[in-house]
Amino acid sequence: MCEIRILTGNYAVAEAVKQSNVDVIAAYPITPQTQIVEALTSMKEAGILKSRIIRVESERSAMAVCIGAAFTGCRVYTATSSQGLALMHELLYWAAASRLPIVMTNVNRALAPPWNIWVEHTDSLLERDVGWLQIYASSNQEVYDLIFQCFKLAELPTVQLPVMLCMDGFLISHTATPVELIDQRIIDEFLPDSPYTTSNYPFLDINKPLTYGNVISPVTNGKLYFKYRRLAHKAMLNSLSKFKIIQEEFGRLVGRTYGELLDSYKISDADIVLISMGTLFNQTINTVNVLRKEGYKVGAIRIRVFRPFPCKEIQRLCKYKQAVLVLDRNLAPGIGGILSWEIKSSLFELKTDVKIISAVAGLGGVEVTTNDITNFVKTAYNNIKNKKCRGIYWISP
Amino acid sequence: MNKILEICLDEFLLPGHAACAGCGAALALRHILKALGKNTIIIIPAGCSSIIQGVYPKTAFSNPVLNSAFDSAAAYCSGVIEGLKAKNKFKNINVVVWAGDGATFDIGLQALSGAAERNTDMIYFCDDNEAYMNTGIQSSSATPLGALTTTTPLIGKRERKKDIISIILAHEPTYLATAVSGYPVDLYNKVLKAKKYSGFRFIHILSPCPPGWRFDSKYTVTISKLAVDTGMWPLFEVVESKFNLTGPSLKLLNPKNRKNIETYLALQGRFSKLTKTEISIIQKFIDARWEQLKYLTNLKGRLFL
Repeated sequence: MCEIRILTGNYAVAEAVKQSNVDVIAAYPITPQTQIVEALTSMKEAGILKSRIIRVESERSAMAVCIGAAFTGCRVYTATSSQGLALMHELLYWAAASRLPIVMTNVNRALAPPWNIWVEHTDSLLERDVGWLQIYASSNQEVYDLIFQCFKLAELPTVQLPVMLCMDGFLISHTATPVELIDQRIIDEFLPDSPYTTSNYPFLDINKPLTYGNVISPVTNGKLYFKYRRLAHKAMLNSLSKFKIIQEEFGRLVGRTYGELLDSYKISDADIVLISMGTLFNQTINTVNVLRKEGYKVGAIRIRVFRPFPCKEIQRLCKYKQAVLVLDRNLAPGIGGILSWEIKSSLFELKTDVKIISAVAGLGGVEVTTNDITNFVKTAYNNIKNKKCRGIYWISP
Repeated sequence: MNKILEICLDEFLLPGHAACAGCGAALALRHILKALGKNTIIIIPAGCSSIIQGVYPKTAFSNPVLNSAFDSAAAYCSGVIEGLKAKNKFKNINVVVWAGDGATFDIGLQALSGAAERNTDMIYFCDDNEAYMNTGIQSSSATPLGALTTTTPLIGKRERKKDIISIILAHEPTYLATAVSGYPVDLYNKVLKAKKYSGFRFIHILSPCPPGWRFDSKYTVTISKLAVDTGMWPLFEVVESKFNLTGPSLKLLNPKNRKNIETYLALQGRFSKLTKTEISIIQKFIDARWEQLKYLTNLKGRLFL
């Protein structure tokens, strides 16, 4: 029954968006996301896509159109990357604080200058605190499957938050692999039409005139602003358990699962854990296999949901390990790898002796090989054994 | 409609709104909403009207209002319209932007141009009080030559006002008009006319601002009328590529009918540092502009390039 096609990540995303019965799409082209926009507009012109598409003049307007359309109760979608995401920044906050279930694909790419169109996670990690859920995929099939799950999650009445689905530029977006497409009837069962039918979101309606977003003064009603922010936090935390349930349902219908908030490999008996996001995980699996043959007890974890951050799961899996080695394909100058700091924060309250080592790897799309990671693990492990402290490791140069 | 008594009696901008005394914008907004009616959704970017609408949980609007980011009102508007169309709810509904000069001439120009190019089915109102009044009278690209603001505090602005109308005209809107709050019948009629068309429509309104222009609040109507009667603010509309002067501006093609610009400038403290030379430069600019308006009035062919 299932059709298998050879698709790049971008085309897999476009197929999934087509199948999701999206009402309004607004997007602006940027490498390496461009093919998503091209594919969707071609589908539209060929008459096989029902969604309304607005060709906007910037990413800011793409997000503004999504916000406007979501305020009428529509299912909306956009896609961007790097500079485009940075340009959207303020509007990302507007979307999240308005509790609009927008789904966006961010194709991870480094930020200029100098111009660099290749993979890095700094672009989306810069937006980690704007109130969007962030989910990172590591294969074309996972990206395709996640689109449906993201819409479902975003639109849940107890969540009602926008979701950013991140995938590695070129390594996923432009790499063609077999992707198993899901029958439309199964999609329709999993993801029914119209986001608001089961919720009470008061969207724009001339018969119920409301003013959205006017001033809240700290003197007269300041507590309400505070309350809305707290509710957004609560909704974020709700999404953790809801995402697990959604994946279970998806797994039952489609037969594919990817771990829950985390994906892991040979973790149960491991002393050393390698943590990464996106396609780097595939390299860490190779590293685990190589090092296991040499007698190292290594395992690997992939963070799938970065916002909200799965602190409890990290604690559960890493509490009794000797060392946690974090591969960060991003850099916050002055701090180091962003993911490693999230891991450190999560493990801090356990007061364990686990050593947390940070390595910044593959910035600007620099290739990270299995060998690179293997050497890093050996060096870091030896340093720990010899009680030698050092700061960030750099892979490479 | 020719008489003010014929204007709709329903009020959509409600009493108790938070505008300053003598606010030209509130006056214009009141008449615009009367012309637009109940089935109207208003998008408001940051500006004076973010305040005029009042503080939560109160609102001075009886229409739905969506507050937007400063630069993105036109794009929000596109989104609302596409959303309503997708839900088959767009019939007989006006979705309009009500934006200040900062949100139109400066920070929002890109989104505005995008929405105009897409011929979005909207009316964009620019409420032009010629500076960033809400943040405390800072100069914008709509501020005229010589005007004192808090960012041109001593000698006044050195640049002329940006010609936004020509920029919008280049997008070939289906309807474009200028208006002032002091001639409400002209304004009201233009909104009624704009409603009849579909596609992108733009109405540019001069709104005198007592604290920003430094005049006593009792002079709002006087000053907005003087803006027209001196020829400083010509009232016109462009419909289907045809340019027409309207209302009191019709008779101003003859320079003798135009009042001296000093009558307009002298009432406003913001022009107190103008030199004689600068006043004559402004007068010459107005006269040259009217030559161009005369040319446009008589133009038989296509208005756009």
